[in-house]
Amino acid sequence: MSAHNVSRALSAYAAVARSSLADALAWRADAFLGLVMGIVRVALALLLWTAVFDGRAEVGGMSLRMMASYYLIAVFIFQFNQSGLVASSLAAEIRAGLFSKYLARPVDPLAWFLAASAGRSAFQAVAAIVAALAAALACLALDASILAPLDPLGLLAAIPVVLMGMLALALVNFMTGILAFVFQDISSFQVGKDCVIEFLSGALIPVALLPARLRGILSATPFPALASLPADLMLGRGFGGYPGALVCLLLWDFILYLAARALYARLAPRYEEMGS
Amino acid sequence: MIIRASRLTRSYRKTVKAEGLSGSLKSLFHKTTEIVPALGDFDLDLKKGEMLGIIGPNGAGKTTLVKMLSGLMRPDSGELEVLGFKPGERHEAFLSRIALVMGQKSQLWWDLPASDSFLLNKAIYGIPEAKYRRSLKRLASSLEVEGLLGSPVRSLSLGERMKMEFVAAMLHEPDIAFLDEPTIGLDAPAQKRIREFLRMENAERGMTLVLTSHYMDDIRRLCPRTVLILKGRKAYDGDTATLFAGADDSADIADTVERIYGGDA
Repeated sequence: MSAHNVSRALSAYAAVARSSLADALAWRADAFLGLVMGIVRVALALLLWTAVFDGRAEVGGMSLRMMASYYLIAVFIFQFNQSGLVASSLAAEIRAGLFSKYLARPVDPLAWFLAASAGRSAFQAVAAIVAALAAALACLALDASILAPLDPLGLLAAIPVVLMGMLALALVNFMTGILAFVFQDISSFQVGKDCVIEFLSGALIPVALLPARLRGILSATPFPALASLPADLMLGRGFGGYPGALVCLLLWDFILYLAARALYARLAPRYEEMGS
Repeated sequence: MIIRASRLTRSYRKTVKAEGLSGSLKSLFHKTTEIVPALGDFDLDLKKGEMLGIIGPNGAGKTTLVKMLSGLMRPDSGELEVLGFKPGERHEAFLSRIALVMGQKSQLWWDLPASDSFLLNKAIYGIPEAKYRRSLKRLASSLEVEGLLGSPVRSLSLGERMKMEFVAAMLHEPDIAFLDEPTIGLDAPAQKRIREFLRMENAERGMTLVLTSHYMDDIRRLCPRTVLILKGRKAYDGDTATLFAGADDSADIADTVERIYGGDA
């Protein structure tokens, strides 16, 4: 591919990301409701963990203060990734015969998907950060000692982790979305995948509370990068395995990228059989 | 020749299920499929700048042919070359020179103004800014949609939306356009406007056009040459005026087939 073609492709997918962001802005009420539900979830988690702690200083090596801060960060970071929504749209387009619009233009459907996911996630990330700050201020107003301070170095270290984790999840979502080439309805796949990934990411239960063996297995997957790893880093924990985690994420992104390409090459010809 | 097709054949695999609950239960454990031929031994040559109409009853194979010509579908057998490319390979240089407009398949972003989709196509096709502005002005003016460019697509009428589809499809000035029932559901003035627009694109730029339509008016007024497909086979390929000679203005596809083949469609 020539430099001119690379520049044209980059410009095209940047335009896809911008359009996707603009599209997300058209549905700002939905995004707002999603964030409100995120705040409700954090509030419910705090209530639950307050009951679990029941006066104890620590549970699984975490204080209540650490747990509250962890949830606030993990839940909002987990919400950044909107590629699941883009995957649902992709599946609907496949079923309705609208996937032709990718095939009849000089675009790569996977690159389009990633760009569209990036655009949508960018909007959600900005909105989630604003909402997280609002939730943090509300928590601090109620009890100044309820949240642990953020580690500035951890905040910086979390950025590449979050980005690589989001890429891994986007690739998983792309593979789920293109199952629509084979199956009439992929919503059950999506529900199952969302439940498993939410658990594995630590957005549901902190990874630190899981059995040591399971923690070991999880550390070799990309999923903790979606919530628990960045949350730990921001709270000044988890620096020990940081370089290894970055290498692991890089490897997973590469493997999932190859898998997504291979699955697309295998399933896309089915679109020709759909007669739509 | 801009299109060379020789002995194109394409069939589909279709799932067959016996009727009723017992049929549904059986199909859970044993899926039966059958091969349905869509197009057989189809030859076609088309010169640059020609406007070809493709007609035939529902299920005749018109859309299958358009899909193969535009690269959405590969033939099972036969030779096919469009603009010197094998369409099924979906080479970037090939896709940059064609346009595909399908009557009920939109490429526009539903919740955004059409102008946002046009900007996206500008980036996809690498259209320089000055050329883009010039093309957009010309296309919007020809289709009389200048005042609607900023309105969300969802708020447009069907006719307005279809005109926007044409603007999006023609911005990169394709050498050949494949149009699959582009005027379906449109009122007479909108159909007429689109026909005039296509005639102008052909006259001014020499754009080749392959058009399928159930509206015989589209075919008669736009395409000097027509191909009639019946049950996946070419039944007529020649002068449109000859095909419709003696038919009244309101003749539809059924009338046309009945007149030529005694209703054997």
